[in-house]
Amino acid sequence: MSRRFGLAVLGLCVVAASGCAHFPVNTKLAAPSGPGGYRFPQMVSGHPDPADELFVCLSFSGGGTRAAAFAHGALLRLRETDIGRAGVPRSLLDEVDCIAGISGGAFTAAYYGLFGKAGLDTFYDRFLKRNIHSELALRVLNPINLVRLASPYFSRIDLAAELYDETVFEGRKFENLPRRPFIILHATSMANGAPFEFTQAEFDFIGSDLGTFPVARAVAASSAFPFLLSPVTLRSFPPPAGYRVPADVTDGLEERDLNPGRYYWARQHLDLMSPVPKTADEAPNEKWVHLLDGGLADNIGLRSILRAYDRTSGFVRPRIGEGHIKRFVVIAINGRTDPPETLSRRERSPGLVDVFMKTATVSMETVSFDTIEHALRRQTEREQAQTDIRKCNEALAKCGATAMPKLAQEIRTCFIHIDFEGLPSPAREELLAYPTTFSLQEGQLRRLREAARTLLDNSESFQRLLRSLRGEPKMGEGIGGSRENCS
Amino acid sequence: MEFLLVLFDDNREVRVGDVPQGRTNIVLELEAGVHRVTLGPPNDFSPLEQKVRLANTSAMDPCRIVFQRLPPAAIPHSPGSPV
Repeated sequence: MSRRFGLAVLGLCVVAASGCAHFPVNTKLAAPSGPGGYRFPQMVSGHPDPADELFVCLSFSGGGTRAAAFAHGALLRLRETDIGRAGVPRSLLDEVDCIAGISGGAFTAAYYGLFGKAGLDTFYDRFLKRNIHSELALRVLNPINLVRLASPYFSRIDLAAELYDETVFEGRKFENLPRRPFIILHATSMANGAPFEFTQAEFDFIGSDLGTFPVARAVAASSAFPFLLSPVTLRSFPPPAGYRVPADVTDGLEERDLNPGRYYWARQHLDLMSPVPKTADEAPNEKWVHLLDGGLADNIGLRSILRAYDRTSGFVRPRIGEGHIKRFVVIAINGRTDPPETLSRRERSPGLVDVFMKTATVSMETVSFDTIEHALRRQTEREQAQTDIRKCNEALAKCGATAMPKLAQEIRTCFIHIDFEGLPSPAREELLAYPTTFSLQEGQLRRLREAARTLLDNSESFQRLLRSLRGEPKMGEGIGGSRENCS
Repeated sequence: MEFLLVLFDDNREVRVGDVPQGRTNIVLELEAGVHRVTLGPPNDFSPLEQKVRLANTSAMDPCRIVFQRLPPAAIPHSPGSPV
């Protein structure tokens, strides 16, 4: 009898404990965030910030520890790259204004954002060399956590976020992140497959304050690979009184055929919003946003930079229009792999695991190539526009005619994309076959960081950029008088 | 991308979608689609806002819109300013 009673009490305790376990809910925004919160520093029209002149953005792709180590190697190389003039040393890393990070790359981006240059020396021990899979498995097997995991409101991703928070990010929140370099961590909304950025501008749509949100939880959302980890959930609150949807969104909805990208971006943002109750007595309709790995929407991380370039509400476009940016540099650090393909050598139909994995990853590659093409197209368009106006005005000047209106600033553009395809054999084949995991061996980590250095050093565009920044003699101009990439 | 030229008889801030995007009388590069364009203060121009649909423009042939300067007597008083 007493044994049964004991078991019943134990059962009740388990149910009570599991019922108590709940993921931490994001904070409701009390008033419109205005220009505050975690967003890129506001531009002051007519008063250029010298920091904008050379505008450098980096993107770190997804790919677990492989991508994190590759991005880490790139940051180390930029730290030791001197672009100083007249004997005054200055590191290229000091010029970085924004970093977009996805999944594995999000760990490196967030860690550098929080701990700065000095953090580059601790990242290896703090994250890269660890076996995150084993540590997470140990946490899952902890009896207390087994009870917590029985709750429908607490899952493996919440344990992962706790692990990252305690052992990697020291409990830091977004309010602890400096605004330059601006770190953009990405996830993917399960509801509509749209990219979700951890910025206050995005959190405005869910009526929430990003400042109090743990950076570790954003990184966990960014790396919540489907099937292996569960999604991170955010509550969407009705927007605070006085909040106005950005004009870019309302205007974007007016024209679908001409610019479908802007139209769907606008619609996906309105989808995030929770409706405002019509009366004070009406209970709010609860709405939740479930976030998966950022790589599902954009595995390179370039799209947020391109949106900042394209959109009038972005932080790059107004600075170009005002002529504050004189040189715009984007460096994409892409840790994608291309392991030897085995599926097509088997007659038997692929099993469930193969189908799951392919379903989760096959679209990543296609989207990634499209993104790189988009970036190149934007660069070409800008260069072409500048060349056209310059040449036309040169011709008009020869015949004494009035010059035609110019752009605010003829900017120098630079797009650099490095991935393992650029390595010499056999390193190329070796690194292209590295697995996507949160546990790599020491030798693999060393080779990944060396690869970033080699690829940047061997990149003609990167070397051209350095010569130009240091004011060294040019190697010649491109065909038709247009500048070469990064010159 | 598309191109817009906002003409005004002065060098004035141009706001597109409530955000400063450049100055008057220079070519602005913007995304294709609908944009609401206005100028920075003072409100001595007309119309107060213009809606443009940017498509098929080029740097050499941008979409042109004009804001006219209002005579002092026609400038609307903003709320709170002395009449």
